[in-house]
Amino acid sequence: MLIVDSLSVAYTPARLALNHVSFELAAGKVLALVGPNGAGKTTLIRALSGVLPVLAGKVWVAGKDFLALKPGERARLVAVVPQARSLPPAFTAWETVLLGRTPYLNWLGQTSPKDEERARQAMQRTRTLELADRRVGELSGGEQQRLLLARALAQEAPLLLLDEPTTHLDLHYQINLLDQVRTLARQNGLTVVVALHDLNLAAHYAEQVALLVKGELKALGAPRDVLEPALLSQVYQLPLKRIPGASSDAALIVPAAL
Amino acid sequence: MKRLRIVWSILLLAAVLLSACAPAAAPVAAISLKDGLGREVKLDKPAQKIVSLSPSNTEILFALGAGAQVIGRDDLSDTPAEAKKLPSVGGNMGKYNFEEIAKLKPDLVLATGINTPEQVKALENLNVTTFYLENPKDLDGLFKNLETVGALTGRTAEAKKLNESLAKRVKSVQDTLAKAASKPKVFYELDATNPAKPWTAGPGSFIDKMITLAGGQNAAGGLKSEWAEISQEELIIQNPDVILLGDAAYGVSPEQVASRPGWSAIKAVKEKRVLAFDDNLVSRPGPRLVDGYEALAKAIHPELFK
Amino acid sequence: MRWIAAHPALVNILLLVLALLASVAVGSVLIPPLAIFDVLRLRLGGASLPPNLEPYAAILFSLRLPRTILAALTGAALAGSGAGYQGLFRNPLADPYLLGVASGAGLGAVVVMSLRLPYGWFSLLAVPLAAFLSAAATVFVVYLLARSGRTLPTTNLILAGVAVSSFAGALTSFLMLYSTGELRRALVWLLGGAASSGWEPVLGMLPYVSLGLGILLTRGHALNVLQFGDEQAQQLGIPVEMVRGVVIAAVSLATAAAVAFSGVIGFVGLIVPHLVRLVWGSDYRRLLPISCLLGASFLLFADILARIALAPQELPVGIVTALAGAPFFLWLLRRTRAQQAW
Repeated sequence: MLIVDSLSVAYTPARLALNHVSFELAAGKVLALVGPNGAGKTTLIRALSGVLPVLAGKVWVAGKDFLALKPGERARLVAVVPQARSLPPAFTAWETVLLGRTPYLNWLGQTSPKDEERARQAMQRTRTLELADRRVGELSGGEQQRLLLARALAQEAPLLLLDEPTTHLDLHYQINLLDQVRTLARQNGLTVVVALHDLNLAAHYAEQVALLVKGELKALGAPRDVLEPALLSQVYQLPLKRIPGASSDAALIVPAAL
Repeated sequence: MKRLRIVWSILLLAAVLLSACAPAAAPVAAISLKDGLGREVKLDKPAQKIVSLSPSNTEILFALGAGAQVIGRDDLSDTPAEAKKLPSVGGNMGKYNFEEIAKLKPDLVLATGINTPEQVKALENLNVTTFYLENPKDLDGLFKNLETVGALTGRTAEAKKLNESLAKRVKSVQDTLAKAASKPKVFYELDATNPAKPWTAGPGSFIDKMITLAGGQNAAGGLKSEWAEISQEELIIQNPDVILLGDAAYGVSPEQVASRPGWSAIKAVKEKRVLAFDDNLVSRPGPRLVDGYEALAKAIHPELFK
Repeated sequence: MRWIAAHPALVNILLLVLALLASVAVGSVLIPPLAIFDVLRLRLGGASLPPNLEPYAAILFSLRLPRTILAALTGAALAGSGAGYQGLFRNPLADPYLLGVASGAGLGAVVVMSLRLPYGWFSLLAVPLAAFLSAAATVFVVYLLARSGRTLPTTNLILAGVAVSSFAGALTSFLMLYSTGELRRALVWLLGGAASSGWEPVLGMLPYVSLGLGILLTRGHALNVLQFGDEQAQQLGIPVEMVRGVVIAAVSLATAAAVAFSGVIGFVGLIVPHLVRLVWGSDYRRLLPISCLLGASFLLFADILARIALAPQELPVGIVTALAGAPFFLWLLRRTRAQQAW
């Protein structure tokens, strides 16, 4: 359960990167963040994960004032799947996933059998267990991205943030990963916020869509209401149209020229 | 008969005197001297197994006739030739081999200005009696050092004799220099790897004092420290009458100096008074400093020493 | 080779024991093993030594044993610190002197030397003490300069380290030239450290090196997480700025003590962690302690070589560490380049 209350972030004093953004998301639901480049999707993910200094506003995760917590406590509430790029190649997949247990370790960083069990479960669920002894540097982009998802799951946090996780993945892995994310939300009651470029993937996998434009929340609601051709054409400055999808309630947003 | 009695009484007197002296002479006069670091150094008897830690100390010891009492020397000690046959205890780059010193079991280590207080402490830790011979600030300081080493080695008489002869030679040079009509300007080159700013001896340094004493004036007398680089521009303004190449041992020659760009403007180069000079004679604070003094005087005032 | 890779702790402890024994046994003066045994037996039994053993006893107790311990402590401090900094800065070129410890120590030592204190325990103690304090102060200045708001960017740290190092180095050179007389002492110190003997340096160094390395060794896990970048580390629950401060403080403490008593010895802090990484992997919980052990052995063997290579002359140990270490390191690097240790 996530409540974002009038959150503002500024990289420079002159311009707000996020301007009083507010929304709520229930447990077990997936929210897709969409919007053009520079709209503030990644900024919002980073602010929600606590790595950006926040100008004003509050974030409540599972009933706790998230931004007032220490890093260790934050990491037990919020897990992040970053974009897979330049991971340290020398770690094995197993070591990488085990790092997800960091917020639960003692001051020497020793892992217990319980931590190892949780890491193993996370790898099982993301189908990465067979990669366990491989070095991260040898893995494909898709494998690395699944590994980062496994690491985030090992963190056992109620809120999961994903920053454009499909960017470097082929179609197969895009669908595969988002299927997993939706299953996790539904089965484990995780609250999920995922930044996505692909409007159609957002429409398909999210219960709610938030459209960000220049740091402001332009629209929030069910995919059908937010992903509306007239509004999107204006936001992306490109004529867009809706075409029917495979099923009766599905529709695709494509450039009008196609 | 009367003569016999006199002989008898003399013998008797001698016996009495000897017996009176004997108890006092038994421990032999203990030596106690303050060294250059202000440490009180005590020896039961004159040192017989000495390790010298610097070329100057080695030269002093041999000049006093105490060469046979030296059992070890530092790497750089090359004079006299006999010294080179002694085992070396290191000293290159300031690193001594203390294990080697401990093994030699010296009754005296003679340290000097090139040694650091840390090294003296290391020797104290080894329970080795160490005397730190301060670098002399002038020729009087040298005489005093010779006296000190004489006392440490039981060569007091030799030290006195050596000092007298050295003082006589100094006096003779000074008498000759009294007739000098001028004070030529002297540039003493220590290192000119970069001829645009060669290293030289500044005011207060031993070489500076020696140049003054030898009837010259130091062209680098206006610098701010004892060892410094002088700019070539300043050198041209100073326009020295004589250039002495203390770096001649490293292959620098007067011809080379003349070919350095811009140096032909200097009077000494024009008048071909650029001379190779044995740096050891002025940089090693031993008895050969007097040789150095003579050589300096001759180089600066050749007209008086024909 | 496989056995070696599987037993990092055992291999390195055995190696260290071997290095310690060799360092006591080997020197420019050959002490027969039996004499070592006799000296130890008589000394520990409280008996007086026969005169033929006396120089051996002096060599063993005043020179070799303290020198051995000092070299081991120094090697451990430098290699452990190097590993810590390489992890902290995520930079394979980081060494323990990165933030100005060496030049800071040099400046402190030369300042005290230029005061020309009268000979005595105070002036002998003042030099390493000033070197230590000045080294620590230099890193602190770098730390203050590098801070920007509440963050401590590594790029700022490295740049401030370079700038402050150069400044301190220039100041040192200036002092050496213009506070005449102690020039040679300063040169000797900068080339090879205090070069004293006896147990004082060991006792002076021990508390700081133990404390610094002790703290550093607990930060292995945090350094592991930091390899994924500041942001991910923070998201995984690591207080990044605090870890950075703690590691810098720990490394500075250990390195400053090492420099104050042993002088600046290059290369150990740079290559030993890489050797460990190549053979035993990059898990910092293992990398840090194994680097300490191997660093101690490495410097001991280098010191032995420095003693015997040109005996009775001694080489500055830094020359040996570079001459012997670099080719070996390059050979190992070529052999294992495919492993992507970084």
